[in-house]
Amino acid sequence: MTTEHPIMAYVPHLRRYARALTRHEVEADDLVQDTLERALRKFSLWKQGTNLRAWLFSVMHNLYVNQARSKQDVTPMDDDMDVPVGGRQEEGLRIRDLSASLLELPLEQREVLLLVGLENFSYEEVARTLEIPLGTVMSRLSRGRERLRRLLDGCPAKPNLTVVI
Amino acid sequence: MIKPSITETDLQAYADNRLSDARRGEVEAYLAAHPDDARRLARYSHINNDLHGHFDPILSEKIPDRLLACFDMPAESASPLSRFSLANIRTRIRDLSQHFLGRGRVLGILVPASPIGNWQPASYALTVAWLSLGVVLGWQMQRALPQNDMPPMVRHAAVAYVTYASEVTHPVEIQASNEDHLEAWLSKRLGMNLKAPKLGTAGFALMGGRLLAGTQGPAAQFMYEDSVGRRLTLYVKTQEMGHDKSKSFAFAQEKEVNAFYWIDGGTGYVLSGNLGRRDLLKVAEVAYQQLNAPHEMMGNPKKSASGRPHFVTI
Repeated sequence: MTTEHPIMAYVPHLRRYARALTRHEVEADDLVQDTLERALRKFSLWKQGTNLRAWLFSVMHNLYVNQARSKQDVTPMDDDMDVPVGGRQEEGLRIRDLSASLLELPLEQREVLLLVGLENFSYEEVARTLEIPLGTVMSRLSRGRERLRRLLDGCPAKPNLTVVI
Repeated sequence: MIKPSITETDLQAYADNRLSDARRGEVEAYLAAHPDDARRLARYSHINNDLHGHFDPILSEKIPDRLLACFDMPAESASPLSRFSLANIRTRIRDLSQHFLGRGRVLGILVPASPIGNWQPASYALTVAWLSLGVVLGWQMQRALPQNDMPPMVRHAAVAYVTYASEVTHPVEIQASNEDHLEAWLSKRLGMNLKAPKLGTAGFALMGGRLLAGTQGPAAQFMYEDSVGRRLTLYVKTQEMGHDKSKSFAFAQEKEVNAFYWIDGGTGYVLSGNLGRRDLLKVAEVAYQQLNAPHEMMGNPKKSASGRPHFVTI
């Protein structure tokens, strides 16, 4: 490889976002790979000088939404993997709760919440990336966050796990 | 004091720390009078931090080869089928079997080295032919291999090795600097007196350990590293039945992970690493001497004539 492709710099960020969006490492990297292939193929369509990051995330968004629409069932992949417990238990449980709770949010809220909270997109960038009005970004953010907070803090339907040392 | 102009959008932007100083001051005045909102926003900021804490380590992970390979493909030849190229299928099988490890055997597909340099969509039929050949070869190989009665703990240990030995940020839960605490904690959880063997004579130093939750109760994982950064793990679990009578080392291999395992008095041990088999055996012998030989000196009836375990290959 002589000169690095400008898209290359965003691969770690695409992977991070995909992992938060999908949870499973293999599924996440499949999504990143599909995104890279499409983005590289259509790179000529990207307008020089515009926001490359927003364009890439928008490619990923479109792919994922289409896949999610066509895919009815998702095979569990991690069901019998060893899960570490103990030690920094509270942190561990909280983090597991975070991953699991994220997946309980509707996709459109999860996307907005992650683009803002994890990828530090400006609200305007999120609107451009997802092709939705700014007001919709804000309402999805607000509803998504509140829902996530309730899932993490208050949800009485899910008993809190306790681990006894 | 309450500014009617404060909107939910302001509050969200406050949680994201995206307000101008002036506006932030106004929102803070509002929050002073609305403690419920203040608590809610503090929680939102906290969630943002948690997201970073949880997912940021991915940024420093090595980018998988199959993603880098996307950049090698000339733009015009990249096709929707490229995800199914042989190179990709091989990497995917590797990725998947790393995920499933023990089930890698079930996947059982060998993809022969491809004679095709650059994948073209037109070669799809050829790929199918190669894949079919791979499946047939894999099936034949499978049949040729001796039936394996590897206990499930070996797969658990190998999966845990792959998961944590590659971990950069948190390879262990408790560091070796807290060895006493680590051993006391794991001993209590496993209900046995557990000491991390000293593998210094074999060139490996203890990094620390963690507790694992398996399907049959807790298991302990000690991790070691040598001077060139090679890592291995010793997995210990209790109530491991079967395969005890010969008290032998058995060897198992899954992809790049080699493992020696043995069972002694209902406790199962698995030493895993991507060392060569000979090197790993040396370490296994050092570990065994410390973990299991003391029983023998105290008159364990199962003592073998040589005082060392037999060596059995599976």
